[in-house]
Amino acid sequence: MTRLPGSARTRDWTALGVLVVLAILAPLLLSQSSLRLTALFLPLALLAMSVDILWGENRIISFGHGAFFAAGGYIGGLILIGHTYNPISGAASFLEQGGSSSGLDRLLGHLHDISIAGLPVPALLVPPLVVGAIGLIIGMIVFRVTDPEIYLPLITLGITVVAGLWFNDVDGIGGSNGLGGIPSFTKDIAGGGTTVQYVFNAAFVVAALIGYAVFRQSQRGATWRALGDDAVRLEALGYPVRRIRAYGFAVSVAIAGLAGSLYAATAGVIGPGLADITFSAQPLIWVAVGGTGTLLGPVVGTLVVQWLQQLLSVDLGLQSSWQLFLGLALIFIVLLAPGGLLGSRREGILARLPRRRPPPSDGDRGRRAPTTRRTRRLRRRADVTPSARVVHAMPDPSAHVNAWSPHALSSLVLMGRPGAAAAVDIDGRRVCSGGRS
Amino acid sequence: MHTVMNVLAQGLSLGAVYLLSALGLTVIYGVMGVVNLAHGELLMIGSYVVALTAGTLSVPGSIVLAFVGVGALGVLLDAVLIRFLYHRPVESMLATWGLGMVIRQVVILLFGTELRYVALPIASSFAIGFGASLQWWRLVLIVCGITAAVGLGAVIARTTFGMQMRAVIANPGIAESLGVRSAHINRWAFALGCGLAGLAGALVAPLRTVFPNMGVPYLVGAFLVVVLAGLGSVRAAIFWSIAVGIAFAAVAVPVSDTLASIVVWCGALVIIAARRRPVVVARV
Repeated sequence: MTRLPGSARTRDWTALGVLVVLAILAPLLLSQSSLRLTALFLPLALLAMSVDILWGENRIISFGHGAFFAAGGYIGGLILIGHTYNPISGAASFLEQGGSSSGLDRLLGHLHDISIAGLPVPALLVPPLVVGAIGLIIGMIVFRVTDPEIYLPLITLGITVVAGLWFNDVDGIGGSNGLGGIPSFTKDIAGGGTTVQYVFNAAFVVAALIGYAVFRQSQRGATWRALGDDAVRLEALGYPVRRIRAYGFAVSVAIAGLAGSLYAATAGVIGPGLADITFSAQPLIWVAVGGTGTLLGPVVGTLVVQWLQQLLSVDLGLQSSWQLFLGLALIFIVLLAPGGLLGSRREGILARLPRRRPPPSDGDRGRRAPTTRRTRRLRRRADVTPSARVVHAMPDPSAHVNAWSPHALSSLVLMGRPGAAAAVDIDGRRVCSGGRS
Repeated sequence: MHTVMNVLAQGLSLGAVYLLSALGLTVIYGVMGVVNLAHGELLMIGSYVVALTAGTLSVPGSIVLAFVGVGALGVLLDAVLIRFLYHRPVESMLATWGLGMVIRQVVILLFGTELRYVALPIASSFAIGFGASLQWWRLVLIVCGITAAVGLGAVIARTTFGMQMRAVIANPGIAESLGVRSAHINRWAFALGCGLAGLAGALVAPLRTVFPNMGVPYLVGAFLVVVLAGLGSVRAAIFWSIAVGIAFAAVAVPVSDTLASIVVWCGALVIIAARRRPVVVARV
């Protein structure tokens, strides 16, 4: 299990720095209406990030994040409004399911009244907690099946359809009309203009990105990534694979819930259309366009796709065939450019553009090219600083004996730093050793 | 008792539609390792074929056309897209989802978004006791579903094509070296799966409204069956599609469709959670 290579770490922080600078410049460069749209797209970028945590790092795709996003939006919206949907003013509103309907209204009222420094904190905390708890339960169940990478998308697809039907049916959240008139988070802060709203949403996206970058570089991030590479091997090494995946799913879903709450407050409305089957696959498309597992890919992909949609469909009147373009784009990316815009050079769209390369001189033609590439890869590995004193190299349980040597070797390279020693033992017998002790 | 008979009638016919769609999914996954999320759209195309041609061809003729036509579309899709996705389940889900979006949009551009209706070819119904009655068309649907399942089982077990299909599933390389043209087998298996979806859509068209987004609930229902039965097993698919159909109808008939889908999905999650052994991906 390797940690993120040093070069990738630097790249992460550089890209993040560029994005922060752009985010700070945006209010100065964009018009008010463009800024308002960007503010609306930022929660969607957060949603895309939550999808990427599962897909980019763990190779699991979910069609259900639209539903969790909408659920977060509904919960946040209800808290911000302070009572359930009520078409006739004065009449007691009720949930279709009956029960403690007035109790729910009272709870919403209490939560609505809590605010810290003008910020309605419960609407930020409750949605991710509730949605995350639901996600944890679902994750605990779903990850019991083998091949979750095949079955999770199917099950989450079903959850989306069911949630969409349910949101359409419950009167307390506005039925098929959805909730309207949701006040924004920033209405009591510095006048609550568009810029404030933008800064508020951007702060969440940047904070989430920093958190994600730190996670990617941590030991836990390495485990999470390794799980996507080879869950069977991790299970053989004794990791509680299912529990880790369920926790990861819960966290991802909780972020989707938070994004939903931000979106509802920014847009002012939330409706069952967001748990709709066409919307539910949208985050997957954003992530695919931006590039999976690239930290910034989801955010860039969301902004690019949403702005393109805005320009092409609304301004040029191609509304009706937009879905056609999106579908074709998804097929194109899966087949021809699996890395997306920001993917690794080998597979991304940008990598396919012709690049100018210096012609090889006579001396190093033929023999040197493969060697240098290999050396570079080894060097990148040697960048890794082992955090533990003892590193156990584990042979691949699913492969045959030949697969041992690269593992043993790589662990030697890993340990072969000045002052470090390494040895490979098999059944208690020392097979080889290296490094300087 | 009246309700019980109604539930059985509704549940069995719904189960038959799920069965037809799930069989297609099962064949496609079992042979090619492709999870086809465009299956609901293929079903929708089957319905549109009936809605558009029933007037000129009569309903039975248009149903045959739906089976053959959607199967032929499957051959085309395999040639341009699906064959690049063999045994890459995750990629196949994304690409076929994109394909589904494209198909939906093309149908909207060609035929508009309005709802279409197909007149029931046999409008009458017959009594099944306790004051309940079953529409003849639903009986046709149930019979077709079970015939298709049994027929598919026979094709797989008894015919040369089925034997070659099993050979390709077991080991494509060896099968190829023994003279089985696996590309051929894959293509026809995909066409067969698509044809079954078209047949399901054609049979359900007279009972439901026909519109571009109609396929999604059936896709989801069929996948529920597949999740419970395990991808790739025909016998389990028969059992679970009938079980899901009846469970759905048991809530939908007395209460509402929405509550029924919630109950069915929560029930499915409970069943998955309660299984001591997780679902193992079986092969056809």
